[in-house]
Amino acid sequence: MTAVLVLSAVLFAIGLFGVLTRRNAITLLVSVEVMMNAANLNLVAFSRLYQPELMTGQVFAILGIGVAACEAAVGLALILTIYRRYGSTDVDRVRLLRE
Amino acid sequence: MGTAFLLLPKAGIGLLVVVGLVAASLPGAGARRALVLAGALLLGAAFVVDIGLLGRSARFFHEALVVDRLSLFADSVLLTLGAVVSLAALDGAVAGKDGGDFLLLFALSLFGASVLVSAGNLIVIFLAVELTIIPSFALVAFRGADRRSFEGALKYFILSVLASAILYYGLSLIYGMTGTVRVPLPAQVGSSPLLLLGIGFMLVGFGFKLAAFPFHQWLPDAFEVSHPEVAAFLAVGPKLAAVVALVRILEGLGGQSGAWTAALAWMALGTMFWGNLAAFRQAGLRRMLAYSAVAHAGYALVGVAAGTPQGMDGAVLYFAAYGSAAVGAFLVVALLERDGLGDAIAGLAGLGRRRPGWAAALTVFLISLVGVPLFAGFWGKFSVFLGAVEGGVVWLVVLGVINSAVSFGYYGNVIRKMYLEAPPGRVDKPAAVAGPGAVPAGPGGGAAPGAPPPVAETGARAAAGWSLRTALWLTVGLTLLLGVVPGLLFGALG
Repeated sequence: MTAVLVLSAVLFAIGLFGVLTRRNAITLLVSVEVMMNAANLNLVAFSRLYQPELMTGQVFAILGIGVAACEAAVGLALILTIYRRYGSTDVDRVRLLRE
Repeated sequence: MGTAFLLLPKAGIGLLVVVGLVAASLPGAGARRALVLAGALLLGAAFVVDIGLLGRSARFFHEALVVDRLSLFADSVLLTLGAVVSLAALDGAVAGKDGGDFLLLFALSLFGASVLVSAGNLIVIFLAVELTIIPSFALVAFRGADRRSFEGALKYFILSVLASAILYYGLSLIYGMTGTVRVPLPAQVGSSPLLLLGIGFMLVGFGFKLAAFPFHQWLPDAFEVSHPEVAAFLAVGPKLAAVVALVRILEGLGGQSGAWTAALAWMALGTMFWGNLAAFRQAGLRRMLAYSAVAHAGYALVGVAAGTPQGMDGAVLYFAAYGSAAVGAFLVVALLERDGLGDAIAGLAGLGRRRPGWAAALTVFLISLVGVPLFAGFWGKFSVFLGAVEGGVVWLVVLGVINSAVSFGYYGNVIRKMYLEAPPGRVDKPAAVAGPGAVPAGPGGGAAPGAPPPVAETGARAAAGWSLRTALWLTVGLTLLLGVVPGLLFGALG
């Protein structure tokens, strides 16, 4: 159990690190997906620990994967449009608004 | 299921999604307008039903959905908001070639907010949060003609999905440490470090959704580039829903004022100060209103941080009381924009003489946002601060009141400009601030000789159609009505 928790914490940290250091919009999206998968791992592990017959965590995780797919769909559409307009998916280069 | 009729208001919003689907597939603008109008009427009818249901409660689908006084109150606010925004969008976002899609996305987001206020477990909370925000990315990017709208939407998108991931991780830890997804959280749980971490992550996630300091950066950008109707919706709908969900989760922990109350108190404090101070520096009306929306989320968080039932109720009530003025102010922005007057605060000089009706409406909204008694906003602040005093966080109330006083500085500045300063005689000065596309329509004697100004004016008059003006006067009426008869607000919440 502890091993799973540590693994998910490491995944979460990797994802967060990616979000904080990378500037490419698609890499950012992938990093966020890694963070969400860390939570999925947690949910499934906890579900096995507490009520293996109820599958609450598994259901949560499956719905969470669906949500992640929706986010990616809208996000990639947005990124594609931006790439066509700006010729780049670097979030630092897409900058017209002032701080 | 003898209580299924309690879901009728939500079914109304669900039907709006279907109307949106139909509208999205219609090519003709006339039929689309009729459908949007029908949608607004549908929401109005659902509002009447919702008011009739006040005081009842029931649970549905293995307690996944809870209809109670909180959710019925929040639904009534959301339905009003939905009707006003769809009316306002009729000549704006809906008039474009993708107008039907706008209604569909808006209806989906509104439906998500409505589910969120009734969410009875962590799974539904997460799904409803996502249903609320995913369509809103597209809504923010909807003004495609403006290059910047994609940039604002991208920032909003990236910060939002990051917040969602953090929220999701937090919820998974909370589930792991309590063994249940039911809300409110069981009160007897010990303070294991992992649970605290989970609650902390969850607060960060909700902080992003509420645009609370230090997670507020997306809001001014998103509000500046989107249609004003979208900004009006985002300023109230998703935030109200997020606060209700937060209140539901934390209700069970109300007794033990743990580390989370302190965290929330600091978040509230930072949000109020940052929002108000940043609003001072803004040259555009829209951006100023956006930062003021940040500050107002801070006032609402004061109530949640108090941890008392009164404070939590106050936070929910706050968004209803503040909402009418915030929505109205963005509608005035929409009117000004369609009239070619631009967005610069400097360009508002003399508006009291050029457009007395709009200036009066904006004055009512700004005074309500300051929180002057006999305007709706006052009662929101009153209930939040009262709850906080009862919760024993008097220092936070004192700082909140100071913030209200400070906020009069920038709201008052706009009012002063509209009534005490002469209209700009020369065209070049406001044009430089307002940016491309904004042609300041001075009254008759502008710098440009001859006919152009009056022609532009009549054309713009026609563009700012009756529906937007109806929506505006609805919000004015609501702001005044709720201010003079606050019993309507307090009674509806029970």
